[in-house]
Amino acid sequence: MDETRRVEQYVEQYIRGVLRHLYLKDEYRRRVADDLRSHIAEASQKKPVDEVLKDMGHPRKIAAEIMETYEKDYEKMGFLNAIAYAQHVRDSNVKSAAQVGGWPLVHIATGYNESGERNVAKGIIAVGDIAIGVVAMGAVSVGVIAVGALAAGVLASGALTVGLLVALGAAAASVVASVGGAAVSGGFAFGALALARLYAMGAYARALYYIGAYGESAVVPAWMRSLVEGLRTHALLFAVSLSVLGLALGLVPSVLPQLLALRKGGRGIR
Amino acid sequence: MGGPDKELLRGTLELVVLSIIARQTSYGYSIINAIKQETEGRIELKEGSLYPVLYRLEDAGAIESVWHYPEERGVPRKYYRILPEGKKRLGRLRKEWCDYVRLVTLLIEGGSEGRSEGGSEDG
Repeated sequence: MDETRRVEQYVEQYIRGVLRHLYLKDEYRRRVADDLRSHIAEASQKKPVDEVLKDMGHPRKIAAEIMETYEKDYEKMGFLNAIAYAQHVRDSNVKSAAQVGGWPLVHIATGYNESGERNVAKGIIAVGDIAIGVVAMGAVSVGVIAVGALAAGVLASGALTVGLLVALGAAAASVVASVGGAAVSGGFAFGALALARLYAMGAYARALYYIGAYGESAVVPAWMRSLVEGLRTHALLFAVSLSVLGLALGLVPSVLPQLLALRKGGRGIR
Repeated sequence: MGGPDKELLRGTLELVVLSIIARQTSYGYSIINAIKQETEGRIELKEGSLYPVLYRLEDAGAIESVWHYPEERGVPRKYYRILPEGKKRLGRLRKEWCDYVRLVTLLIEGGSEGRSEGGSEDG
């Protein structure tokens, strides 16, 4: 490998290091990459490139200074970058300029503000430690659709969930239908422990109509019987479907931004 | 003798950078060099501090950038040029800075008097 190629690779590696910590849309990342490339080329006409890069400092530091300018600019970050940045810095508060009924279309908030108060995400789509919105995702989330460790909503999914219509979770309670390890519902409950007013299915189930491992009610509706038969026949498919649903609702929102960050770090921008 | 405090510099960067670009169309590296030379090496601006300021000014319509690609071997440069909006901004920033310096000077002088009065009472 000739010297020019080695230097080019060295510079590109440095620029990738900056981009890896830059949570911005591609067009803005490209602007930074182009400027750094030109700057380094210019500076290295006067001294060796190793020295130039050393003087510039750690790529993370350059990226951090650039991000200070954009950390509240949702339009330049985009949804996934804003989530990844919130996970990266811990104290983040970014809203989209677009609003619906006085609420930001997207609000991502984690950690604390300058006054030491907890940042709360309130938006049509809200993501954060505490999230309140039409679609809310967070450790504690309240929304029409709520996903989180503690989730309450019309449709709620997470570890401990309360749903007006549907609740999915390790422990799930709802008015209409609950599915989970322990499921309690006014209508239908399905789970290891299933307690409902009307219909329950599970290892231990109690309701007006129920089917459990330890017995069933005197009368069982035909649809419940066929559902149980169906689940027995397609047990594997059912288990896989539940796992995929769990992954989609629980893991993906937290893992996807990290994957994005890895993807960004792995490629340069030309 | 060292340069000014980092926070103080950060607060005046926009004014400094805009002033340099107003004097002459410049590119990133040349702005860093100009600051270093004109302050006799006492202010050294880092790339991570300069480029966000340039982006902010460009996004605000205060300056515009044009890439210049040399015909033969050479380094492509992105030149920044001040726009009418930038000239207005520069005027406002200059006035703010002059007012601020005047006020701080007043405070410092007042503070010195206060301290000497306090000192004489103690003594």
